[in-house]
Amino acid sequence: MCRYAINLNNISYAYEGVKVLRGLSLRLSPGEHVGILGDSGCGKSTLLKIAAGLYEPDSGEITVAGERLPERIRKQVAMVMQGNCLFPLSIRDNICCGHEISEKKLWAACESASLARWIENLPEGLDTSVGERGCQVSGGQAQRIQIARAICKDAPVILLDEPVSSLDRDTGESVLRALRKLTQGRTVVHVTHHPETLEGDYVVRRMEGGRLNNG
Amino acid sequence: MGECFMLLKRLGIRRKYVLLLLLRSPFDALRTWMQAWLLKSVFLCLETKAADRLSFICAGGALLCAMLFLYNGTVWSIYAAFTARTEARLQKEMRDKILSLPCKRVHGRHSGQWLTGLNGDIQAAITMMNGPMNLPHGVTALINTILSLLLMWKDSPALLGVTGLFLFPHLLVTCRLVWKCLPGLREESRCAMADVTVSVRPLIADAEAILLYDAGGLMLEKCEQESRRLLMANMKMHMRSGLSDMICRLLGISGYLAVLMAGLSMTRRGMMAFSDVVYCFQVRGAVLTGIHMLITCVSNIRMNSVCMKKIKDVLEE
Repeated sequence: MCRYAINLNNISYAYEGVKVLRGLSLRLSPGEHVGILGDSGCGKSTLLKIAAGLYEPDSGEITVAGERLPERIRKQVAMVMQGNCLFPLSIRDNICCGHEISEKKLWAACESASLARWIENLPEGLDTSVGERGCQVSGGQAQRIQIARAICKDAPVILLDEPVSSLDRDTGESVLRALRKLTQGRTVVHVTHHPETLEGDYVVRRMEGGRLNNG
Repeated sequence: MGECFMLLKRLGIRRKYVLLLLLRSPFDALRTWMQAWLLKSVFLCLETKAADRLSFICAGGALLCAMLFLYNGTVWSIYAAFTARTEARLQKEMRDKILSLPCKRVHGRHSGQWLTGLNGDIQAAITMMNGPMNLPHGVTALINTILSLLLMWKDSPALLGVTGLFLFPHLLVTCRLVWKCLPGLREESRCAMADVTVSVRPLIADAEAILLYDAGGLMLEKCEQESRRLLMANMKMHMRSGLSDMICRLLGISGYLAVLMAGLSMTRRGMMAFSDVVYCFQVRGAVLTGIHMLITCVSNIRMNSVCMKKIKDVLEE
């Protein structure tokens, strides 16, 4: 087993000539939860995308669950993104993403994401289309579908990019409950503007000037 | 075609468009008449051995030709500028309309439908107004055909009758098998195009989620499904147009042979001079070119009218 679930060492990244990350380092042991706070545009989402293997840093080293290559890192990571990033397909396709997943596992994921009862009441059930950019489902349901998708991926590392920032308080709380089930026993990096969403055993760090300080 | 003029009326440019359309239309008809007259006069000079008149006829032909091309170039450049301005105007009107619509209406259709409207439909409307084998060529072809028919009727009604025998079935089959189906097929193709746009969008907008959840296969399969629908719809349209082309070739060659035989027999019996037969062949060629051009233009106009109607519907919402 790897010593660190996430090891970002001296990472620098510039976007269109502007340095976003400057020699940032982050080490997380398996099962550790870290919450990252910071102002808008400080590079929190960029950090998550680098940790997810979506962006390659200009310099520095990344290891996630023992993997160094971006395409292999991506297999170790599940991410719940900010806003609505559903595909214009059915709920089933949005959760399974074209992979073979048993009905039992699928419904268990929906149950954990507090989606099961809502889906059962839909005339077409899991085959209901979410519409273009999820326009046929509410913001809370869209986030829950993303959570169910992440649960089905069963990845050791979970990255959360402001998953409840666009939701009202009640919906946000119910989505956070679903997130707790997803993050249990896994390594988590949760980026947010709202420290109150970091309940439980989160170590809080603050991002400033492209580096991480202790919260 | 009615959609086009109604839309232009809405934009307040219908009269100007009709005037420009008429101004650029007589070119082909005049050229046909000039070519036929030139050939007939040259052969007559050769038959009567009037060499002194030949150079005079050739110089006159060259002068007429230069004037025709000067006229054509001037009118067409004005026409092209007019359609470019109309395109910009249509785009602005569409954008303004979309912005003025209530959100409920905008979201009532998926983005592919709006994008197809803003890009594909306007492009089709402009193609109809200025593109090859559309409205301008249609008017030109109509005038050319009428003039050529009159010229042929004046010279040899018998040869015109033979030509008509082969033209009529072509028109009948095209009307029944091609023109009737084209608007429906175009609508099908338009819807498929809108769905392709929607299916392609996530490949760009949600590229990160696709990479992260390895959903590339699923998304490409969806795109392929929609592309296949578009392909099938377009194929049906092309097959119908191809059918018309096939009949055109078949009846065109048969008609040519029939006119040739009739012309030969009439020359042998002294009913026509050789120069008259050459003249009739030249005019018959113009009749056929005109009719075939007209058929293609009507097919294209019928297809593009569907897009014109969509633009009109959006602007009138």
